[in-house]
Amino acid sequence: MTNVVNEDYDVVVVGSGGGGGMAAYRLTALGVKVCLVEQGPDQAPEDIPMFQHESEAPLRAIGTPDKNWGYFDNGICGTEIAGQPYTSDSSESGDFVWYRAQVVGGRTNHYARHSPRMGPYDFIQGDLDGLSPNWPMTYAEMKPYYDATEAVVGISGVNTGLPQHPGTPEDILQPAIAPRAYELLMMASARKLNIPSFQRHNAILTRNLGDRLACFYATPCMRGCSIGAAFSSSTSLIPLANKTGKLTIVTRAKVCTVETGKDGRATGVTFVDTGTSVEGRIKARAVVLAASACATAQILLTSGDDDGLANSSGQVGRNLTDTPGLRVTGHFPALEGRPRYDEFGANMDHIYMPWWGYEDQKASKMDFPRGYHIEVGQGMRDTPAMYSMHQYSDTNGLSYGPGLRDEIRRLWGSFVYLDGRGEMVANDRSYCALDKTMKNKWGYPVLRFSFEWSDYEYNQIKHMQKSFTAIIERAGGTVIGGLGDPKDVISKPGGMVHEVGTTRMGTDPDATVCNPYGQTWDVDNLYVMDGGVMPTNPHKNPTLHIMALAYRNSEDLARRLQQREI
Amino acid sequence: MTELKIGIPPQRLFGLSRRRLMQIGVAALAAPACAPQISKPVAGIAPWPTNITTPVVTHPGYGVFPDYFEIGETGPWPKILGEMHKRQLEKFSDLILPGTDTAPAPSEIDIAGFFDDWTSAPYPYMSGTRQLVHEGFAWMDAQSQIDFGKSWLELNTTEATQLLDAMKDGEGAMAQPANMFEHLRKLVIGAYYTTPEGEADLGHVSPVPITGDYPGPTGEALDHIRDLIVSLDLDFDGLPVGVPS
Repeated sequence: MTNVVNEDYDVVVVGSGGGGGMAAYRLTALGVKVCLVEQGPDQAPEDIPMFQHESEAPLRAIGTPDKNWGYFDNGICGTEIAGQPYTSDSSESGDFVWYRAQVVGGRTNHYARHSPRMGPYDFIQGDLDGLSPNWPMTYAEMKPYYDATEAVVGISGVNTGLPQHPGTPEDILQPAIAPRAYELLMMASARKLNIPSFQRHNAILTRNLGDRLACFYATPCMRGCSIGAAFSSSTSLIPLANKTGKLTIVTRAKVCTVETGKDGRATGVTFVDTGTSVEGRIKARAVVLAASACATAQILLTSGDDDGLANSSGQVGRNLTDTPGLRVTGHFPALEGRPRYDEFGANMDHIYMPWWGYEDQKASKMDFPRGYHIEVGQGMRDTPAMYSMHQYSDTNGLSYGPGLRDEIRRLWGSFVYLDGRGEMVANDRSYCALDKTMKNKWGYPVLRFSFEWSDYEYNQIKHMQKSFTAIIERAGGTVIGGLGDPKDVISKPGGMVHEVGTTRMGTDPDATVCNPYGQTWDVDNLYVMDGGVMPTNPHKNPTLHIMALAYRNSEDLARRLQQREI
Repeated sequence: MTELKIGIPPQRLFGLSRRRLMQIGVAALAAPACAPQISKPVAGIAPWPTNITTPVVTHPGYGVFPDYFEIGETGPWPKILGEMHKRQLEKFSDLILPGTDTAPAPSEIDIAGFFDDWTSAPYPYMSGTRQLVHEGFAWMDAQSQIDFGKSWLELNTTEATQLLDAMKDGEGAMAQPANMFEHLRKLVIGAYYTTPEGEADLGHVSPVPITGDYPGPTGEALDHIRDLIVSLDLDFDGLPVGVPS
């Protein structure tokens, strides 16, 4: 049984997250008729449980097999979703974990809203260290698209003035959010050590923007934000696209393949209704895949012939990278029992430490080639959580009884962690491919992941440990977690949910999947607009770059449609 | 995206070290069925029971896309924790975090209801707790009989404290009681401080919606952090304090 949704769309966009949402927004604004297909359900803003307390949720809202990231995690999400398995080759680095966000808005419902731009060096790493290709454009070429993207996303923060951390035009940038007490301490310590620290760029409104309202600083961004203060494709881009009258949204539809005609061009996609398992087909003049890097690779590998579609280079699924992460926690006796106040703020970090070692790396003075930035958290920021309170009770063994309350109260607010977020260098051992020995509940082969960190990442982790320890100790703290063998403390492969690179763009059709506009070399009217196209994975969180690329590449697609090239 | 709570495994959830996990075999907690445990008899220590039947839960969970406003504060599964276990858990919990003049004891804020929801849930980790409650309180009753000639619920505070002291650092024949103590202690602490009453005892200031900019630290909190920064010979001047101009 087959459902044909429609046959007269200009473009079918697969995935409604940062890339797909931006493609829908930009294409419809340019008069293109778009069908946006999302695997997960829609969630109306009024249905987001923004204000519910953990005690008002089953099991104090802790993660379960149904909701891996916690009860209030928005949508059908997690690293383990029933009926949608994947496999992972064993490696020293551990099994790959693949977070999926199946809901309108995709991962933009969940990300940390940290939105640094890539800098000039990030586009030319091939020239600088030769370990990966350059991007097929420069920062100067991308700048107008960053500007345009940030204007619609809404960015608050301050510009650092540092050469590899480009700023946002002052008429776009919204005021930064005041640092919390512990953030001021960490800033002061870092700066004393000549490590830069600034209020960071967040995709969180501090001023109204269109129909979206400024943050009121009281609810967790990760649950979703019904007023649109915390950016999400679902509350920001898609409503704007809807206003054009050019957008159709199909939800609960898992796209399985891209179909092609006799001329080799894409004719649309096939999907399965996730509720009824009925298969369907959507036809369009062009197809945009923005299902997330690995899901897009899965669709391409499942389509076409045995080697997949758009894979004459053999590079679909290759070059998979994630962000190496490390958390080092410090205990600060001087913060014990400190004055209480509302430290929640915008829930996300207000400050960060941008990478400061570019010139040393350029001069080969470091034993790892790519940088990292530092994020700062804990204090009294988060509402007490089921999974975290134990850490305030275990410093004196498994104590109990009358003194335990005092101990927990004393320690509350005295822990601060530093999170490192680095850049990984792609390697031949890290990729995803089809595992044809296993199928998902709809009968399609699942993905098999192979992934290994290299010494580049382990050495980077060592450097993080050293710099984080210095910052913590200079601020009067003691490190209580996160040191030891880098292989034991580095994040899980996939754990940072920054996987990119699986459908790289470039200038060589033999070595890349997409051209510099995300158009696949092999299929003229097939585009990729998620993180899969990124040739490298800078430590500057990928969502903003994905959206800026989608903004730019949608203009190329719209032009080609209008000029009847497609 | 920042890593938060990805598929929190029990060991990460409650901060147990790998070594500790190996020591106490807590991975078995995830198993819904009761695997026979072989304990060598040790004089004065009750063997960990192997003949306790733990109820099997077959009801579905809240699903992958729950209706948040329909479900409420406990899961949709039938609650199956017996009254005896509720009283035993209340007694245990009140010894972990005794009530004070200003803060209620766990039993006063329905810790039994929390455990009823938790141990009735159809998820592997919670099934492990359910097994532990059934086996563990049988063991505590048996050990109470050996030590004091009465059940756990009949022990006075001094006697009960003696038993918990023996459990908390137990090894060898006491490894499983130690595991029980550690596991339930963490649940009590987590459950208590995730209530408004627990937050109040902690002094946590819950956020309320603000019109305008987030102000940052209050005057008192800012004075504190300024004094600290200066005392550490760090530079306070130049830090971005307060709301933007």
